[in-house]
Amino acid sequence: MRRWWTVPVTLCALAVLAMAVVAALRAGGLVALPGDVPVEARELVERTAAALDTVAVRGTVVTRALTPHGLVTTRAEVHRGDGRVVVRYLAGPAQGTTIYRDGDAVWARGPRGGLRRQAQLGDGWSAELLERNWQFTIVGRRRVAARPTIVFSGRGPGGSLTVAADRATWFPLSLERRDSAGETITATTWQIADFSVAPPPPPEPPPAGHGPPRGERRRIALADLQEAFEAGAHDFTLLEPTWLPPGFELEGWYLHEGPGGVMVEARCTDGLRALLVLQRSAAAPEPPGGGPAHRPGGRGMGRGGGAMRGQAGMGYAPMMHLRGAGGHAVRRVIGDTAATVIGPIRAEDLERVANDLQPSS
Amino acid sequence: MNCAQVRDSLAEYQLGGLSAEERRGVAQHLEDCADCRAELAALERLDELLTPAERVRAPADMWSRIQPRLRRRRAPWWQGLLASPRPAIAAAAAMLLAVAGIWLTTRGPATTIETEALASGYQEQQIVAQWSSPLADDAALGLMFASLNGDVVEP
Repeated sequence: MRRWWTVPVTLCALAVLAMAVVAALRAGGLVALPGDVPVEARELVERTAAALDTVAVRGTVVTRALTPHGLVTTRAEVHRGDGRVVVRYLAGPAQGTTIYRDGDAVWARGPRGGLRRQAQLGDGWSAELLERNWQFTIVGRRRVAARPTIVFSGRGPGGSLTVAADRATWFPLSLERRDSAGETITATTWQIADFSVAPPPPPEPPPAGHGPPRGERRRIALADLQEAFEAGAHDFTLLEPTWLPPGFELEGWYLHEGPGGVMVEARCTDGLRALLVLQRSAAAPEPPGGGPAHRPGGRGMGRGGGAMRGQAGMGYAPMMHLRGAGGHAVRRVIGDTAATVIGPIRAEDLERVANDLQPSS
Repeated sequence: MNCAQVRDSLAEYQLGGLSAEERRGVAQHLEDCADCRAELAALERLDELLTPAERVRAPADMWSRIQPRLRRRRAPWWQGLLASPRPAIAAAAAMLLAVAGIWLTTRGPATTIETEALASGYQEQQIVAQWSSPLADDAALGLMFASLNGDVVEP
């Protein structure tokens, strides 16, 4: 004889079990949306990153960014696709300015077409670190620019990232980065998005030698860099970071060569944030702008490979506080090398990175 | 003798202090030179002015009549400071503070501009590095890039 309460208890147990399964799936970043194939959050990151490079789209965005002038909100027309991006700002401090990105070259033209600033970006980072260091979860769905999106969020040691990816193309129609205190660093949301357009035509790059100096930045293997320093190609000692904040890894080495001189960059990242160790000759005057400097005396000092000269002569410079993307900067003169460590991390961590720099061997 | 030599000797010539030979030379030059004659005439007028007048005795009550008509002369400002040094020291300290303040405020912006320019350069490196990240926000990073100080070149 069955007891009267058997059926309701069984139903309740089934309901609890179902809720537990859904919660477990969500915690693991795996969820089956109605009518969807289940998608793992990390896969979303990869697909979204790939869509940024390949998907052609044109429209208007509202963007916010922490600039040296504070948090600025502006509207812009964006046309992108096939590795090219054209952004024209319609309001705010950059009104009338157009940003061009073509591969790893980026430049800004003013309202009257004058070249205002240019840079070379170098290679893109792998998404692997981002996936490893940041915990991503799918948090829901919403409509952005009248299109359905999947919203996922990443949490890392330095803050959070929220992305609304277009369901059809995986293109991120909304991207928002916040620091660990919850303050917005950058946020861009598309208002109108037309995915039926062709990619923008290749923009005409600035003529060589025109406008502000760009310098050359190229990725270089540490072994090649060490070999060049051993051969006496540079007049300062190459330093390597021996301590990095938790979650950060050395992403690669870059060599900046311009008319002003040579600067070595050790780029570290936790997948989303950049921590830079910039090194140049201490004999050269500090260049305005922090880039490679002209070396009036040429060579003449010893070079790396041996013991660090002048370790006792470590020079300290006051910490610089950079608004916007920068965070803080710590400058040290270690022997014949002037090192600057920059990153949006705690000041004491920057100090430790700088103090633990050692000659590369 | 030329004019310069004669004019150097005119005063002694007029007072009779030259030797006979020198006196002849000066006299000969004066006959031919109107300018030096004019100079001698001026010296003679001055001499008339300097000739002592007859000495007279002042009336006995002269001072008692003049004194009431004199205005009291104000003491120089620095005599007051010397009389009471504390306010003087305080004033000097205040002036030093003011000078230091002016120096610091005028020096401040120059240092800040230099630091800002440097920071702008480092910031650019940071933005450029950030731009290579897998989910780079081109519109926001472009806004940061365009908002950096310096390097503005318009045609």
